Amino acid sequence: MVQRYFIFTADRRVLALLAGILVLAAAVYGQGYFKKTGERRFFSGFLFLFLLTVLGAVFSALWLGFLIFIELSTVALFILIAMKERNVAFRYLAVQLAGAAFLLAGIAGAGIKGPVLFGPVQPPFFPLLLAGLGVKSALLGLHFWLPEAHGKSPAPVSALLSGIAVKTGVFGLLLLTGGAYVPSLSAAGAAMALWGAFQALLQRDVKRLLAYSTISQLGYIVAALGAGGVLSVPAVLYHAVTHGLSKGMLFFCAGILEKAYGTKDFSRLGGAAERLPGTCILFFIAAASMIGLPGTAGFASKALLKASLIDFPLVSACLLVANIGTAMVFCKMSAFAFGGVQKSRYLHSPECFRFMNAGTAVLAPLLLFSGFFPGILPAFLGSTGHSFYTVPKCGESLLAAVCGVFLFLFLKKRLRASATRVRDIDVMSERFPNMIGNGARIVQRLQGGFLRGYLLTAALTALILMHLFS
Amino acid sequence: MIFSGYWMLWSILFPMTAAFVLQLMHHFAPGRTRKWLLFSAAATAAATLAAAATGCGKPEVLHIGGWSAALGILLVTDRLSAVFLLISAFGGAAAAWRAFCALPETSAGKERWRFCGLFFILWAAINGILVTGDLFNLFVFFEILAVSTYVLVGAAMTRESLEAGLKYLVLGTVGALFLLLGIALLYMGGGVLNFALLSSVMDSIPRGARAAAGSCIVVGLGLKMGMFPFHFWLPDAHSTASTEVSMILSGVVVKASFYALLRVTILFFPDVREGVSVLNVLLVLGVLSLFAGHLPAQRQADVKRMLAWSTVAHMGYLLVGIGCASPLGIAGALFHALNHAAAKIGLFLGAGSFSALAGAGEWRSFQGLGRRFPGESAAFALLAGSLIGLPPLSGFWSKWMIILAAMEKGYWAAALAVGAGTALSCAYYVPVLFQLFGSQQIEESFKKNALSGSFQSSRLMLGLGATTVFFALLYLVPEARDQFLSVGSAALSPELYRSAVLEALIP
Repeated sequence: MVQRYFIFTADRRVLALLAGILVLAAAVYGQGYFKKTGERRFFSGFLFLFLLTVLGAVFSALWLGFLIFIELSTVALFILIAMKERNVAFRYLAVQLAGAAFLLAGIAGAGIKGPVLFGPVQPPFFPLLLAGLGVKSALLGLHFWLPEAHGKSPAPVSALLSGIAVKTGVFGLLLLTGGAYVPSLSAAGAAMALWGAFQALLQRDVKRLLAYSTISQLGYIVAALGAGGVLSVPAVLYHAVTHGLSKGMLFFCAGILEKAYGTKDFSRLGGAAERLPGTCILFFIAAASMIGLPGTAGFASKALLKASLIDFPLVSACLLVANIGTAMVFCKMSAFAFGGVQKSRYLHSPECFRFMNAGTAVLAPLLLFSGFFPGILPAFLGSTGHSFYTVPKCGESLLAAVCGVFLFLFLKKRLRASATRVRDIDVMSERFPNMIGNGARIVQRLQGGFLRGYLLTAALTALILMHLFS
Repeated sequence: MIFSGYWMLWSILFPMTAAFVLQLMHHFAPGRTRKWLLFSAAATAAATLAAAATGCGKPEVLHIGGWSAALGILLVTDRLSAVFLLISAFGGAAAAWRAFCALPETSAGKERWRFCGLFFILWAAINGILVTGDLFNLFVFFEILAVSTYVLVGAAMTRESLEAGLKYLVLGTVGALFLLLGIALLYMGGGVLNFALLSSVMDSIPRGARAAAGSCIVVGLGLKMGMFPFHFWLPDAHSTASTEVSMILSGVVVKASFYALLRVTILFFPDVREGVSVLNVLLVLGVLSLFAGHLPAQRQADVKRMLAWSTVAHMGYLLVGIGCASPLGIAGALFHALNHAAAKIGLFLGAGSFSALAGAGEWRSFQGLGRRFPGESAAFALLAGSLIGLPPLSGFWSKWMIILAAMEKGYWAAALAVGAGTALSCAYYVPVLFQLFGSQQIEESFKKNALSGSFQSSRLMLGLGATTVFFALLYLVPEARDQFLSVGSAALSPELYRSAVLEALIP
């Protein structure tokens, strides 16, 4: 019975492990983040429910089961976001359910004859599923909901959104393509990596910067996913895990900054390194893994990603540029938030941050461990024999980091003053409810309140129908 | 003998009699009115359930009076009408519970019993529509239904409800006119009014007359059920009527009209080879109704008006289901009719009770009520979630069946529209739920609301909330699902109905 609905292969277990660890860290973190006892209980309860739904989604053997659990996890996240930010939660839910419409139609199409296995589907329904999963995993063009949802949610929830929720969508994509070569996905991934890094550089808000960085890292994952081949599955999962852990830590750090200074704006942050040394160290570990410096998990996963993209020099080049961008992004964050002088009043005594720092610190050893023993996770996924610490690989990674640092120093003044915003389609997220409202106006115009209009419409429709039937 | 065909007759005659006898009862023994009201409602529900049970096997035919087929009155139940009789029994009982169980001791409350006459006539008309086997009787029952609903809507005696009742009267009369015109055309062509006999002579009716009759009947019945673009009366009427009337209107009355449309379409206008068939038109109008209902529901301040618009949208789902013209589609539509009836009855009940507590119909005034009535509010949230279509609640499964049916036939746009309905309906239910469960300014509203009384019919609300989980099992248990599918395939074949009735007519 269980085998009919759930399967427990190694790749699924890896994602489940990621979810479990992140939820555990978020649970610890939440004890410090939420002040009232009632809020803490509520948060922990729904966190647990969220974990159950994610486990259900990743272990599903059928597409329908995956869909149900992923919608349930959306609802759980919606409730968690709604604790603090109702409008953000509302828009998140609306967009995700709209995406689920495509997924539903696609799964229904593929599953007419019976339950359809969670895996590749027949070609005519592929685009529908791609669109549906694209919304979940924020593919380029469908990412409009992400910066707002990840940027404005409570910090522990942002960590879950960036760390797990989008990964379940990616996992769906991974099983949908089934390791086949999908050039459009590779191209989309490369574009996402560049566009995300570029937008992240221009952000003035710490969490929005992290949100765009998520888009950039998802670009890496999607590029490898589209390339297909033997290495793509371990590479995608490895980077998903690494990114989940490090982005979780970074969002946790951003939450600590927000609590400490009451702002997320770079122009009002600064000097956190002195007041919050522990947080600063944790931030540097996570940022190093994000950039992919040797000795961290990020280095290992990126090395595997590049190995899987060996036949695609153009994509690899794009990712290298994006890597330089990532280095600049985290230089920006460290220089403007942790470095410099303090600009805002410090709000809390350090004891408040005990739980938050503890929650963040849970994840750091995993990143370092995975950096020192890079082969363990791929071996668990059944892919052995990779050499990670070779001179060219280390060199490339260090070169990208150094380039990023120098470029950042060169552009520092401009980036600090950057009031320019390059338009992205994230404005769609705020306009989405208005668009629905405008659609309503058309229908309401018919509802004029006068009987003559109603009768005329009915009579005209009768005539049209008569013409149609004859 | 227990399930003899006469239960069909009782399900009509009993409420009809009760409507008149109760008035006399009240005159002679006013103290016992409430007891008799409850007894009549329970007996009517029981008779309706028994009538539903008669149709569970093969179609059951009751030939009243033994006149010849062309003249005699026929009552027929099959499994399709059984589903709707079930909705009628439980929906009518729920509305009666809300109306009569807790008759308040105020003077307005004591006057509430007067409502019962029209209420039982309405219930009789609904049952009549569901069991009749004859086109003209269908029309007669529709007239009885219409006249009682016009007055029931206006009986709230507010300015808005009187206006809504008047508009409903005018539009409903025009709808009846179209219906009568269609029936007359069919009678002129076929010479009989009996469903089964007429459907077997449909081929002899000229094509033009058939087309005219088809469009007239679609307009007439579509107007009664609130299909786009004839839905104009529905938001006004369903939102301004008193709570128990809204419950039965949105839960049961529109479903009865939907049943009539389904029955007539499948018997008289099955798929045509060339041109546009009635079912295709229903599919398109269903998709349009879906948007025409969900979109205006977005920014309604009044919660009952929002629910009324959502009814238009859900009629759209049902139409998409039958527009697919497959067993799965019809099964999905029937299942959705069941879910929607339970959920909408519960939501109107909750909306009415919350409005009474908050002192206003706007959902913005519901602040903090969720903290005071956690069980009832949770039931409200479950019912809303079911109508939004969140898994694993029952509404999700009926939508899933409809989407499956649409994709099976290759109607991608219809499937996507049904899916998009999920996002659209979450956009108007979620703010209401936020308001109910929200934490902002709880203290103030808590004090304000603490003054007024308790939630009306709270047990009924909790029971209806539980249906969202219980009905989900109807899909998840394979045997129950197969039952629905077999009802769907039986409903789709006119031969089955025809042969059963003809067999009973000509022994």
